[in-house]
Amino acid sequence: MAEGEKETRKRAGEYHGRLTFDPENNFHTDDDGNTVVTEDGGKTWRYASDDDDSHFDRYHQQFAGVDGTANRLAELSYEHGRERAEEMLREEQPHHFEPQEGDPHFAAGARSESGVVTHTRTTSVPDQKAATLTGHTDSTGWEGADA
Amino acid sequence: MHSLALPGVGEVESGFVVPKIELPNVKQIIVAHFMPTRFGAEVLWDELEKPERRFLDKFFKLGALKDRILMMAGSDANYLSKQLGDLAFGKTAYAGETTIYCGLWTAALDDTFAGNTTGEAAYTSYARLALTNNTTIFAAGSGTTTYSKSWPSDAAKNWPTSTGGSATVTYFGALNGNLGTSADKGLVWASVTSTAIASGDTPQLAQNAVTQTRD
Repeated sequence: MAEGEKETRKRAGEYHGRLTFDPENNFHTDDDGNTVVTEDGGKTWRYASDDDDSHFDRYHQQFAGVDGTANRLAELSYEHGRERAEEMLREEQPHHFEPQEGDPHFAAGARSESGVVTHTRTTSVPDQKAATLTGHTDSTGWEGADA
Repeated sequence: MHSLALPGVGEVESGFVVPKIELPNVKQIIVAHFMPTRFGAEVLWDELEKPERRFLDKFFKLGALKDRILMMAGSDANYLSKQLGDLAFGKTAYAGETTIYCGLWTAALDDTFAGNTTGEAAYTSYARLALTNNTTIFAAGSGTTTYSKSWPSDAAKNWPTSTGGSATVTYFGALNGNLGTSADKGLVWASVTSTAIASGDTPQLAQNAVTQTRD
């Protein structure tokens, strides 16, 4: 088996569990890389057979491009200069600069570690959670920042 | 030799001055303000005269400006920063991830993000994209002063087509797992152009859409 190639075993029947998506064949997969499909728009899932169409073939209508706001800033900078581009991006994509009201991470006036006002609060501290999930027998918890 | 007074910088010597030339019946060409960046300065550094270098030095040390220049809507996450730092200094082994899982978020991400960070897209049929971590999809980058690496290098990659519900995607994150818990460690994140995903839409990451730079 070539490096990085996934081993795919064939299974049959219903599937319940977490989904991953394989962009090489446009099928959803289970944790082991077995392909799964839905025939009712995502209500139920089953293991795919050889003659099943991919999820993309079944449901795709149009693409929605996922493009970084940094790219947009570069485009605008080219046309209007960096200063004006930032103003325009602030109107067009304000979340590029900081979380917006309604976002669970928004906290008016919150500062970053370096003291810059970012209006951002951390809603999850992974290390804090990891300290309680880890298998280390000497785990005593987290002494860092509050969640 | 002429001099130029700039607020916060003081008097700066300039090597040449271009006079304003007016041409009749010709549309005025609007030229954007010159805004030096650290990257641009590094590229040009060897070509610059001493006074220009001194000017840029002062320019970049302006407090308020520094915050603005350093502001970025994307970064390595804490986990990756630690792994790379410990590998380089201490030789603590980090073999990289076998699979990199890319997710979409409708709420802000930052360096602390993990698999359980709130706001991940939840349209019907959504799942994280599994990218095999090899040099086909993540080809070597280029650049010496600033190393720049773009991916996916082989082709565009699709997330699952929505079969119901909707989501307005504003952030993108790559992780080392797909459990949906804090055990999935964040690798990199970026804010993306606000994109509404409705039924029938297939979110797509164009070829080389993600560019990471390290200097």
